[in-house]
Order: sequence, then structure tokens, then C-alpha cells
Amino acid sequence: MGIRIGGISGRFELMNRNEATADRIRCGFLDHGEALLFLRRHTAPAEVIAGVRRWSHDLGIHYSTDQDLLQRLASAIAAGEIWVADLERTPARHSRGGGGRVDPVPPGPKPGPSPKPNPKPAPVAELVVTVKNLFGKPVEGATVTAGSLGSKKTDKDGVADFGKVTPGSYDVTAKKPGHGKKRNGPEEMDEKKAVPVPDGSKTAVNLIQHPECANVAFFEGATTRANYFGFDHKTNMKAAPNGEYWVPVPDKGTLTMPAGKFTRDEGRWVSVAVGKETELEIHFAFKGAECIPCLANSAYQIIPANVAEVVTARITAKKAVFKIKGKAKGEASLKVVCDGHDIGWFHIWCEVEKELLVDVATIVTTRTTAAAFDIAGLSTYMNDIYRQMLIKLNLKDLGTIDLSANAALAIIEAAEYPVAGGKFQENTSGVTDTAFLTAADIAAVASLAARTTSPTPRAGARRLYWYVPNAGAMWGGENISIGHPATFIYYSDGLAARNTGAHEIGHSLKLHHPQQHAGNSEFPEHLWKSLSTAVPAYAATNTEPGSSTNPAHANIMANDPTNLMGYWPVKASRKYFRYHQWKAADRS
Amino acid sequence: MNYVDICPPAVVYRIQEADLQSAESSNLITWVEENSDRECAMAALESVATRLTATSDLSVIDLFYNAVASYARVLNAGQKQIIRAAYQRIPYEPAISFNYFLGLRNARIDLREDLRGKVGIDWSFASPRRDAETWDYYLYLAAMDEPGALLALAAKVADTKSGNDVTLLLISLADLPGNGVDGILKSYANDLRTAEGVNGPGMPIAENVRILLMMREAD
Repeated sequence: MGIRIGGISGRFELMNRNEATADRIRCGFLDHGEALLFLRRHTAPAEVIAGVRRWSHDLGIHYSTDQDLLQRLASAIAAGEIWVADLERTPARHSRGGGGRVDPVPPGPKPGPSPKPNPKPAPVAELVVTVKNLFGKPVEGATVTAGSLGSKKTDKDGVADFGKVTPGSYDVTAKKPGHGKKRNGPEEMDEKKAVPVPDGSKTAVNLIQHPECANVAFFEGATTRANYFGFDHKTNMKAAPNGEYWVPVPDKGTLTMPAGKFTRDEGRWVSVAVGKETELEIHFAFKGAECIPCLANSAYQIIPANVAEVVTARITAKKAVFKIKGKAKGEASLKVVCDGHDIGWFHIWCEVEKELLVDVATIVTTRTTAAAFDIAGLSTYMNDIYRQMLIKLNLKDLGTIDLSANAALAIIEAAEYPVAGGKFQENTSGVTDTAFLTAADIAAVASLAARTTSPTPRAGARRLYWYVPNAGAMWGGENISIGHPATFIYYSDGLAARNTGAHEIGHSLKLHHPQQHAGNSEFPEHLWKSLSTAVPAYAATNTEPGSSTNPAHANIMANDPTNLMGYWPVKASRKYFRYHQWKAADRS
Repeated sequence: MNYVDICPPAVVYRIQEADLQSAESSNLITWVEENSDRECAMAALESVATRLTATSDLSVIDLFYNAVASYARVLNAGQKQIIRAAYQRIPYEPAISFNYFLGLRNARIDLREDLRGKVGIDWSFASPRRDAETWDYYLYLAAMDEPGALLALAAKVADTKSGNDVTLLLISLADLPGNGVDGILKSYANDLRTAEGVNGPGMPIAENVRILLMMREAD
């Protein structure tokens, strides 16, 4: 017995054809489950037609347990959507070898309305979708959608079997979190439009899933500090407390690089010298090896292109060294684009690297003795800091300048020790301090100018003096005034003294304390406004050490506590300049 | 004077082997002085002057100009002629204008005609040590007694509002000799604007001017 019911007649034919080799007719294929499935798809409830029970038995449907099903089936029959035929009388119509359409004459429902005259048989097709990744391996758990057929998950073999479907045309897509964007090659689509699923066919669709272009992080730090210049993650820091860098958090969605370079999106700044390379770390936020194809699919754009260029031709690992080279003085942004989407960026400050001369000497007066210092160590320390702003400090050891016989200077100097047995500058005023330092500098310059033998001073050089009072000093060092070429260090060589020296040289390059900042030229507002605020702890990164909490201080920015121009008490970590300072510093 | 004749062998070797295309050689003259004496350093300077080309590393060229400025007082006429030729051979580069003009100025090498139209004129800078190509150029012109140059420098100082910037400009200007400079300095003898101390107001301009004038008198 066979039954033809509306839209599934084509399937019936197909099955008959397939079964024909067994020289028998597949009967009773429309079993209880299939009937249920069919009715769910094609029939509406509420209409009942008399006589439907007559065929229900053949369908394995029992009135006592499937009343609703019977009612829906009856409704479909009443609507003329399905035909029920007594196929016990029709097997001879199947042609052996297939190809012929089964076209039994429907008897029409009994009882019920008359069937439509000569209805066309309902066709049947199959749709099977297989999803693989770029390596040809099955992708399990992808959601495959085929238009009105709905969605199915792929199994461990990457297969989503839609089974018997209505012939037609379907848009087939595959999606899986972390995957799925279209690529450029037609063979690499994860979406196919208007896939024909013809009547009587079994259509196989192959889709390819790609690892999605996840966000990319730049230069959380190079592997070694010596391989890059300046790094700034403070200028564009997020407004929200504990704002999280948008990279390398994966699956955050599409980003768009802001038009302005100072949007507080946690975009980073990097400095690079004209004609020099800098190494950054690039980090694609993928899981496992799936990132590799997307790495190759990403493009790197420097805007404007005349400022710098990308040196690294190809990224082959999700965490790798990424090199750029400065081309001309200016500012630019580098963004990574994947499938037309921005997935990460940073900003570039490019300048001509400048070598600034600093002559170093120790001053001997009636109140100081010669200080020993290691010029090479001092040079290494300072250049590790000033390279951030593309400045190379060229230090020359001028040895000792003996001013102990300068009586005029001694008089001025005495005013700096007003407290009996007290330290240098104890209970003094800024005015007398500056007057003495100016006098000492003038005397030292005059002494050096008189030299006819080595070491001789260099024209236009800045001056760094070790003035180490026998009685000790109230402070670590001083620059005569902002931008003045003369700087003093008040205690013996060592980490603290060098750090102070670097700080004071900053003043010589016209940089201010954050507390004395003018406008926003050296510190963005969100940094200087965090002065006098309790400092939170910061975790270490691979560009900067961690820092601990600290009480509020008038000259420490909670948002950038280790800035060299502030008063961070841990000298070993007070060594950072940011973009505005790079740009503001004197360069001659 | 040939450096080969007066410098220690190790220094001679270093001078001969120095790659002027490399920034590693920028400190050559200072290194030579540190490892020999001033005479040897000046001979090395002469040698470098003959070897420099337009493609030499910019920092090498920059510090060559500084060495010229530093040894200017003791350079002889022949050395100055070699240095002048080097200046003419190497295109002017604004990024190193400070030492470029300092060398010309201290050595009193007159390249004014060569430079006409080649130096960008922009008086908008604030500090005499940043983007101050125009200031560097006019200091040189004034040192060479170019008519109007000193007036232009004085006008820049007069147009400057910041007491700190005025102080820095006057300190820079005071490097030039002459009564004209004295006159400009004296015009600020009563200026109570102050320099910026690192922790607050610094010395008044008037006090700095007093010191600068005192130093000039001592010279």
C-alpha cells in the first residue's frame, strides 16, 4: 500500500525509484513520524474532515492517541493540499530503473469534498550541508540556516542534514562564534545564496568556516625594551575606571578607528625616529591555530602613508614582533583591517632623532667635594629614558671644576646654608637658591671656557653638575629654571641620583612637573586632573613594571604615577614620558 | 695638521675606520679628544670635514657642526677653509639648524649668500631650542653684522609674553658680542616678569639681565 500526500509525492517517487532495484515497492513510508513532520510543516489545525479515520489506520495513526494529528490531517485534505491514495492499487505504475514519476490517481477523500482535478504531485528533495574549516576539517556545532527550513547544528562530521525538504531555492549560511566572516575567494564562502534544491534531488552544500577577524592588540610590549622607542598607553586611556583595552579581548565585534587621534579608546601611541625601525608586539586575539588564515587575510594601513611604513611583510603567529619604520616627521595611525573591518590600531609620532649634548662635571667649592660618577652608567640610564622621545643624550665627562677659590661665589653659597650645621637649602628661598645656582653655573662655564687642555666643553651643550654638599642636601637636584641649560644633582652617583638627573634634564628640555603644568600641552586633562588623588595599584605589563598603591600627592598623577616628571617615590620605576611630553620637549 | 702624525695609533685607527654613514660615528670628535687631546681632536675634525658628504648620517653631520663651534676659537685659516667647503658640500638641514648655525657663527664662516632663500622664516616658535631655525639663522646673521638681523631678534623678544621664554631668549641672545646686544639686554633691566622655577616663580628677568650684563663686562 502506498499513499501519496500532496507535497511529498515527489519524495515518494524518489524513494520508490531508489527501492526499485529491490524489485519491490516501498510501502508505508509515510509512517507516524513522517506524518507528524509533514503536518507540522504543511497543515493548519481546526478543520476536521469526515472520513479521515479511514486512512489513519494505514498511516499508523490512532484516533485515540492522535486526535490532534488527525484533525490537522483532515484539515489539509479539506483544503485540497494533500491527497490520500489507495496505493495498494498503484505499484504497477512505478517503472523499474527509476526516472518515471509516480503519479497515482488520487481517489479523493472519502467522505469529503471532491479533490481538485488533476493535481500536480508534490515534489520532494533533500538537502545536506557540510561545514568544514580552512584546513578541511569538519566544524562541529556550527549553526546552519537554510532559509525557511530553519536552522540545524552540524554534528561531529560537520554535517547538518535537513532531510526531505520542499524543492526550491534556499540561502544557506553557517555560523559559529569566533568564525564566519566571508573571505575574498569564492571558494571560501561561508554563505551561499539561492542554492537550487531541485525536485527529486539530493543536494549537497559545502561551506567553509573561517576564524573570524578578532581584535588585535599592539605593543603591549616588545620582547625586549631596547627594540622600541616610546610607548604610551596613558594619553588615550579610557575614561571609565579600570577601562579595559579593547584589544586583545576577542569577539568584541566590529571596531571603527576614530577620526581623532585622541579619542579615549585606549589606543596606544608609539614613537619612531625618521629612518629608524621600531619593534612592536602584535597580538591577534584568537584561540589556537585557527588564527593563522586570518593573519594572512589582514591588511596594515598607515594613514597618512608618508609618515611611516610597515616593515614586517607577513605575520605568521598570533603573537609576533611587528616592525614599522619612520619616514618623515609627523603623526599617523596604523590600523589593521580584516575583511573591510577595523580590528585594531595605534598612533605614531615620528620625529628626527636628535642627539643632545650634555657636559657633565663635578663642582668643588668650600662646601662640597668632588663627586665620583660613572659617565657610562649615567649615559646608559638616561638614554634608556630619553629614547622614548627620540632624543639621544650625548654625555661628556668634563671632570672636576674647582671653584673653591672663588670668593664671590662662596659668599652667595653661604646663603644656601642659613641653618648652622644644616643641610644645603635648608630654610632657604627659591630666589636665593636660583641666584646661587646661576652664579655657580656662570663660574663653572667661565672656568671651563678657560681650559686649553682636554677635556674641553662643547658649544651649546647643556650642563649637568654634581654639586654634592658635605652637609647633605634637602632635595635631590634642581634645574635653574624651566628650559635653562644648567642642571644640578645634590647627592652621589647611584640609581636615585641618576633618576633625579634625568628628571632635572627634563626641566632643562622645558618640561614641567604635572603640578606646574600649563594648559594641556604636556599632560592631557585626564592625567593632570588625577593629581592629589590616591594612586591605585597597577599590574606590570611587558613595557612597564607594576606599581603599588600610594597616598594622594600633589605631584603624582594617579592615572600616570610613574611619569618621570612627577614625584613617584620609587625611582626605579619613575621613567616614563608620554606623547604630549615627547612633543613638547626642546630638541636642540 | 694631519691626525696621523699627532694622534695615538689607536685613535688614528678609529678615525680611519669611522663610517660616517653610521650614527655610531656621531661622537667621533669627542671620543678622540677624550682619548688623546684637543690638537688631535681638531686634526680629526679636519679629516672628517674632508670626508663628509650629503649622504653622511645626520647625527654625524650635526655633531661635526658642533665640534666646529666648540673648537672655533682655535681653528686656523686652513682648517676653516676645509670646513667651509664641507658646509657648502652638504645641503642645509633644518632639523640640525642649532649646531649648523652655531658652527658658522663661532667660526665666522660667511655663507650668507649661499643660504639666502634656503632657510625657512617662521617666528612663531616659543623656545630658542625647539623649532627655532629662524632664531638660529638670525643669531648667525647678527653675528655676521647683517643689517636688520639684531633688530629682528630684539623684536622677537619684545613680542614674547612669557617671562620664562623672554629669559631663555635673552640668555641665548647674550651669546652674541657687541653693544647692540647690551642695549637689548638693558632694555629689560627693570622687567619684573619671572622665569619659571621648577616649583614656582623663578628669578625676575631683571635679575637675570643684571647677571648677564655683569658676565659680559667681565669678558
